[in-house]
Amino acid sequence: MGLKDVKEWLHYCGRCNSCKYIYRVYEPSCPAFEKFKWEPYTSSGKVWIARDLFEGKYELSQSICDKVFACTLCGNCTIQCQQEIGDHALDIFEALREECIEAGYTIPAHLKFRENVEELQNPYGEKHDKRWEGIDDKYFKDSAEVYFFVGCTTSLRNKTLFSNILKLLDYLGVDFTLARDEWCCGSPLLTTGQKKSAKFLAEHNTDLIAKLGAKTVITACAGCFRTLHSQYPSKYGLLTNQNHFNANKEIVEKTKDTENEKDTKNIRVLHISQYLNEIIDKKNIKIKHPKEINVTYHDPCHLGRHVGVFEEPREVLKKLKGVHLIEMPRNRDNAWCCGAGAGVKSGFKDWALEISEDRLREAMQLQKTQDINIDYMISTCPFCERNLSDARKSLIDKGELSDSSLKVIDLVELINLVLKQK
Amino acid sequence: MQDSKNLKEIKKTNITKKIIEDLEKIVGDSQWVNTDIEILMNYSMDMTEQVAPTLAEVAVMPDSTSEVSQIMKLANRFKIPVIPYAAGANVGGLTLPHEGGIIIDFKRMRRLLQIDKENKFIVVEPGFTFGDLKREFMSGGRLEGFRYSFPFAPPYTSVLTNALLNGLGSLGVKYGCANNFITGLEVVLASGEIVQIGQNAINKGKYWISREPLPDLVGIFVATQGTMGIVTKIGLHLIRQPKYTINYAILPKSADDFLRSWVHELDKLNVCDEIGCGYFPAKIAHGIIPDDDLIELMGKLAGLVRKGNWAKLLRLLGWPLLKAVTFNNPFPLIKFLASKNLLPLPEVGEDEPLMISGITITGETKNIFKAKIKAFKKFTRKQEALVIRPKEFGELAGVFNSILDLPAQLPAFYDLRGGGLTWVGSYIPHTNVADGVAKGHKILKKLGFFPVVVLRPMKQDHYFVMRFIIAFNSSDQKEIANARKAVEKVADVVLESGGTPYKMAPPIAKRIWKKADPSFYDFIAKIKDCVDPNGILNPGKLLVNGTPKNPYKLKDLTGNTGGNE
Repeated sequence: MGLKDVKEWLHYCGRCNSCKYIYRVYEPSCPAFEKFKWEPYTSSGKVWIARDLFEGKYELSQSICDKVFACTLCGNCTIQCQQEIGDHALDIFEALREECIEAGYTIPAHLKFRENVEELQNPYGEKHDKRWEGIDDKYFKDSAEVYFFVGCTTSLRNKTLFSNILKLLDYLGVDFTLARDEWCCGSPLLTTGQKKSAKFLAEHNTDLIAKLGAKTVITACAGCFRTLHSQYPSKYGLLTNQNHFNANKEIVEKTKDTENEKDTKNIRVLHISQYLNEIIDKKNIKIKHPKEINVTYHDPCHLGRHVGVFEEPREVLKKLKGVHLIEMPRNRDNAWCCGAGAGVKSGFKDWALEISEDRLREAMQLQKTQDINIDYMISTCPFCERNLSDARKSLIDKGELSDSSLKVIDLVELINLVLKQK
Repeated sequence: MQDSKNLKEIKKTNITKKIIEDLEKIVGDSQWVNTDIEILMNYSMDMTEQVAPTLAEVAVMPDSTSEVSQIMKLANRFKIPVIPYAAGANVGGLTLPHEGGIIIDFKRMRRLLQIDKENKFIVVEPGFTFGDLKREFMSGGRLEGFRYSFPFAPPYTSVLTNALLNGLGSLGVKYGCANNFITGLEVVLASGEIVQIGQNAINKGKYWISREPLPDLVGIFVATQGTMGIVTKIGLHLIRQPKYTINYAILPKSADDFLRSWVHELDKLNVCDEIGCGYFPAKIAHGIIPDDDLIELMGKLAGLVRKGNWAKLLRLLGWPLLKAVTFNNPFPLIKFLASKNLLPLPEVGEDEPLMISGITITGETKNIFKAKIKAFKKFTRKQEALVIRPKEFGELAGVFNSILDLPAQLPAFYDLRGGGLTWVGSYIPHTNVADGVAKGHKILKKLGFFPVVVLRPMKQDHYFVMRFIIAFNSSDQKEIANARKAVEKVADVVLESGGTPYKMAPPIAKRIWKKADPSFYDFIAKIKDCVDPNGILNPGKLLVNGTPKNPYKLKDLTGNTGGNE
């Protein structure tokens, strides 16, 4: 996708600036604008850059590239926008990124992703086998009801979460398998304007899913989930025959019965929070924490705003007796981004950390105004968890946060913690 | 669609590499000084496109009055134009750099500096927005229990510039336009001198309570569009939030009657804190203004909602309508009702204007509050107007909220004509408003636009706001030219009707001065020469014919070949 594909929307931004606030809440919505202040960092500013470039008013430059890639593509601005341009803004931002890459303007760390993915099929530059180090062979089956798509961050950077997920799925008696031949989903490339380079990953993973024959694919990574669930179909025409369900488990989008994808017909791609929400009910499992604890939930952008999964993680939390969910003021589609996404953590490390610190400060302010201690900040994305944990450490080092509150853990880890204490 | 060729040629100023370095030293960090084309382009035009784009040479973001002062000293020494830019929701080309130069962007100066609840004032910086202010008024905010006059504008709009540009506001019917809320100013002059104005000048900034009883020099900086000095702090009155508040929507049977007589009668009752009116073409208002059938339907609906009889409601309306009214978006409701012919408006053609008015009644005690409501209801019954309390319709309140969020939502109302939005706002004698609306409407219709008109009695009905809002396709050069032409023609209607446009764009300023007593212009021009002898402050605005020291011949600031003189 280049700017020509979004040209009809380029002049639709009236610069009313509504995108800068959470609608009717008047809290900031755009991390990049709050930090850098200049208009081109905002949604409307980027749309106007796209318009100017398309009209040939000036040429692309590294300076533009730096501004375009400082955005986390969190999409908060698109929610707050009161005009129809909001529905197309993310496409315009992605198109801008692709134009930058095409013209040779890049962020070095993002190019490194691509090299790593092309060579080793993961963005971290680790050897493929390292994903499965310490994982029991019993988890690799020829076929199973459920395929657990682990993702690069969980398998290569968060083995604790990885083992927690395996443990929980075992506890719940799920018939699932892993796949040794799983590759990066492509999300790091898709969000950094390198769609073309991610195509081979999408094709490979789709073939893999077809070969395994599992009818349900689950993933604990919000980025992998969005990619498999929404972007393979929309960007590459793959996995188009998914059944999409709403919170009431009604099919909201019917299967497209395409000839070339018969092996993945009627497949469901679910985030693990959705799957857990189903299975805990189905198996009538009661989970109770022995003491009362407070948690708050951080909505990952890829899971929430981008796909619309807001309630299932909260439903799971409500099923954990003794666990009290305290909502931060900016929640669900208004949630403040963790700052890690769309190549910001790799390209602008300090900046990513600052965004995450602001998210934690929001929870800290909640503690203060409600005079409570929030024990855990719950995430449903390993990448968010990682950045929020880094920010928590930074705030503790700065003396802003006590070590006894706001520990950042994944929903799965919280459940295991509750089960352990039972 | 503007292309690079349309960018006006900028007179070369004296900005050198050394000056850029000096600016960086002043603001302490190179990140707050910028010459990137993609940054400067953002200051080259505004949403209204009334004036052709022009390019600044450098943009700078200071963090304090002291830094602004140093920037001004530097600019004045080298005679470089300086354009103040507050939050970015600019109109009429008032922040366009007609002569190039330095943009001072106030986004870093966005603080609420002082709160004095006892004496009911606040002091804010230029970048502080109505969204920021609203947050402070909300539950848990530092200004909970108070209110202020909110404009008919998106929330990311500067409170300071709204006051300085005589903006209208929600409390206009009681207090007049926003400059009436100003209690004092801090101004940086072109020379870099910092001046305090108001009682804050006497008490070292402790009490920004009033401009009176001192010589009222605030006026030099009101409506002069940043050409006399750069205001870096403003003191503003806060109004106490009364204990009881209720909002109603009024749907008068005849908009013309409403404007000619009974809105004035309503004002005489002295029960309303706010009276705002919107005048929509019927094709837009179709879902908002009901006919008699719908009045009956809405009456039933209101009764059933009050009684909580959802089963009956469901039978009466069916799922689709119930779903529509419970969805926080007016359009499904409008579309549905229109498709079922539930909103026939036989007396009015679809291009004709229709009206909806929103009013607010408040009271400090329950008895006073109830008495006001009683008087209001008696009055509206007599006028045969439908009165709706949005809350009675549950989420139908979304319809009214959407109207309140105008003009941010206007393009959506206009089915996305193409991202462009412009307007002519004016203050006009209330005796002339009905005719003014009719004339303006006729002109706009002829030019192919369907205007929304915002109307509001101000200062106890001493005068009226009449603002025509026009949506246009901002990718179509012809339509941009047509919109500019429409703006100028409507400005003529305003002037012929005895009113004056506010926040005047340069082409409109030219029309105003042509009509004005020459002594008025000359006096302002002499003051300008005194406070800004080098003419560096926001050139090309307001004093479009220049001053004795700095004659300025108005160039074609519209980029328009049709309609500009």
